[in-house]
Amino acid sequence: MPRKPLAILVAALVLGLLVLNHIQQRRDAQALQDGRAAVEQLARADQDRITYPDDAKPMLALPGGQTRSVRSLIEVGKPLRFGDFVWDESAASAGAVWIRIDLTRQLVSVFRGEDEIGTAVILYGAPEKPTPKGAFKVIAKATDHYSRSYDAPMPYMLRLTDDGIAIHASRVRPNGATHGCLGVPLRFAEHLYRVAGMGTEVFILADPAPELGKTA
Amino acid sequence: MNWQRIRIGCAIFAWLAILPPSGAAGVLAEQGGAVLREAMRDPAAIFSGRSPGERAAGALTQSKPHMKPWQPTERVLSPVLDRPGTAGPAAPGGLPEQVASAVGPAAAGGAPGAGGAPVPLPIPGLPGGSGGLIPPPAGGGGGGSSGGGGSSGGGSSGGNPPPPPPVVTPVPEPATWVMMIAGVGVIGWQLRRRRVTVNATAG
Repeated sequence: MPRKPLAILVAALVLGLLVLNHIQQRRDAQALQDGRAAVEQLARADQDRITYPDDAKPMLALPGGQTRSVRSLIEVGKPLRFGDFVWDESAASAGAVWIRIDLTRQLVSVFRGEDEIGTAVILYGAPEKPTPKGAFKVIAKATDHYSRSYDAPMPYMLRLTDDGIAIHASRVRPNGATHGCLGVPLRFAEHLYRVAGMGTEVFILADPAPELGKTA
Repeated sequence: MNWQRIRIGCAIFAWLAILPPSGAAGVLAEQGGAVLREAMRDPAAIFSGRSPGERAAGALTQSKPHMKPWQPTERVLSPVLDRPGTAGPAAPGGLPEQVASAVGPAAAGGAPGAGGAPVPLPIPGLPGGSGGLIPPPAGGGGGGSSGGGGSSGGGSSGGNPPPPPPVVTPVPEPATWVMMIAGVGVIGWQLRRRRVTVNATAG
């Protein structure tokens, strides 16, 4: 007598499991489709670029309480050496150029709109002549500037402050420092000079990076 | 009973047959998610990954070439030629009046005894020395400054400067030109006159 209800119970259980399995399968297929879409989205983009989805753009905190969203960053893949730079304007859409300079990481990032178009290692001011932090704008530019204060050429100069703090080409090398200016490699300075104009925003910050090692 | 067993067996078989694909789909979805998560890395981590590291203490500020200390490329000589020897002959005459009070009568008397020869005066630190004879204290000349030799280096700061010698200009003055041309002319005139005279006697 108890065999028949038991068989019905087992059949119902199996049926239920089948339904559950079917539901799970539908979900897996959906997830697979999403995953493939994501992978395709990544594959569409350049291999040397990290592109964020439109609904998950990170925000970069900048001096002056400002924030800027980022759609893509250049994938360097390895630590840059002194004098190295990457310049890639291929993915950049329209938008204003702005510059983010991270003194702690010794890096400059040039953005056009929400896309990073260039990055390089920089030199910045020595402790006794520190580089000021904050939000600045380019107030003057010159291709062949010659500093009377330091009796030194400063090609592709982008001046930021009235007292002479500027971004200019320099011999970027380990353990080097400036008198407050920001030194970038010459070719990078050429690119930067081309895209940056009067009023281009420059954000200089010292973002804490506890995981970062010291340069030898 | 057999029919039920077969049904249960089929159901279990179907269950087992359906399971593996669903598991594979899950793994693939997981991979896609991992790629997605990888792509959505924190920008700070990306920046740290490309950074050469934080700058060590004691960075050098020698990014620019050093300014060389200014050095003159040419030297301009003073127009007044310093010839200390010219002060020597005038010294014996002026010696007694200037140093008689300080040196005393013995030394003053000894000075004329040497005649016209230059007299060494070992008097260090005498203020107001004249020209080449007694060097001023700042010159550090010490005692023995020979008047005849006139090798006093400190003549420019202390005493009277020696009189400037006659300046010989490289271009002669007009009067010199005139005199030279006149002389050459006279010589030529005399030679011509003598030749004419010789010719006349021969003829």
